[in-house]
Amino acid sequence: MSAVDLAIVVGTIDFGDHDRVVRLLTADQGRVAVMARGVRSGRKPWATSLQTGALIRPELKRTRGALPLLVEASAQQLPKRPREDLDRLTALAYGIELCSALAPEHNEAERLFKLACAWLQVLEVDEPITPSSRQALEAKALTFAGFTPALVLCPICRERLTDPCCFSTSSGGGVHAACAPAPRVSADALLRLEALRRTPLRDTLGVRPAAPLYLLTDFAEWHLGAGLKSRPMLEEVEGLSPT
Amino acid sequence: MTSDPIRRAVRQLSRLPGIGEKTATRLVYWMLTQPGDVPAQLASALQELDASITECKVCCTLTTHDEDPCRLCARGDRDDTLILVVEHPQDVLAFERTGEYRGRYHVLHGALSPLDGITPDQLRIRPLLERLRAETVTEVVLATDPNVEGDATAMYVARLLRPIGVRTTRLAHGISVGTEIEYADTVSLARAFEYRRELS
Repeated sequence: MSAVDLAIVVGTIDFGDHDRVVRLLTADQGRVAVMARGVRSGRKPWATSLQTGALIRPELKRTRGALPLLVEASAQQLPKRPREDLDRLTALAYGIELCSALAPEHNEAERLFKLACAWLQVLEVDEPITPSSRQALEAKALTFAGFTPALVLCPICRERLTDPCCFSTSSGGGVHAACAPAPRVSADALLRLEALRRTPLRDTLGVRPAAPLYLLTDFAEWHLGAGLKSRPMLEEVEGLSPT
Repeated sequence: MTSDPIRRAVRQLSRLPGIGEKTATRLVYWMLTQPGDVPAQLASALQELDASITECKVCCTLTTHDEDPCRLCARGDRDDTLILVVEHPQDVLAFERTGEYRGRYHVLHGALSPLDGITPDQLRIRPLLERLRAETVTEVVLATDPNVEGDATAMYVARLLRPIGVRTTRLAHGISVGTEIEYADTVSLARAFEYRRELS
């Protein structure tokens, strides 16, 4: 494994009595897992930086073990507002999981890493986090992972999408109802998603979300071949939220 | 080449948290080389655990079938207006050791962890809400761990408690008593500064 400059902590798994396996998202190496020894016993002050959503500068060492050893980690940015706001915290967990799940293992994932960093920044701003920002994140993440959803042109007939439209994950996104039978969605909603995809994350706060709210979430899960673990909590919290 | 019973015992022991296959193998061989009936006693103790332990019908901590409600819930000298919400039964013991807390407890049996797929329905949140509706509680102290999962749990429970109108507080964060500031980690130090309080 080559040197890693910056990394986002995706999650940790307790290992033995004192250690943790830390899952990281990096620009150069995509998804990586490293071993952090002794970080649960309070002897290593830097261990507090190993929290989900923290941007760290890891110092790694090759070992004979299966995983590289995390010798030290200095926190570059720790999630602050998400630790005080449930909407932001669930959005953080979801965004980090999504970007990480779409990133390749031990392979370059610079755009997804930068997107995850931008998401962490957005979650620290004053404005309330709305589902539109999460939809923008999904659209961008899918694009950067090579799964760009069709939102303007029907992938079957190559014509511009107009009502009546459907959303067919297996066909690549929005399609004309006449081209492929699938759950109905309005062409306006698809165009709104396309606009969110092209808008910087910071500018999507407060924008009206496109319905259905979890269209691209389903699309991402279909491409990943598995459900995102943070989704049930996200849906529950977005359901509780006044926005 | 290990025999099937040994392999099975190793497999079962290595399912325990903090025990890897090597440690499990060591434990199994240690038990087998001890005089007396160590494996039988261990098996009997585990079976008894399984048969006699249940969750307290009031606070959800672990208790025996013979003592349900648990000893703490049955005591009449505790403050019924205060409930301390903790993640694990062990946390109850930690607070009892302080000798400072005189209220009641509620054990959630875990913390919300979106990334691990642990959702509110897997925790004992509903029994807490039922208690609050039935009892004369004026304050709920959320004593979940000071990590992302603990924060998520505390914020989620606080949000559910808002309509009930009960006072909801969270444990303070900061540096450990007895440590030197020079050696404190930056996160704890920053939290301690953020949650500083005025001296009278």
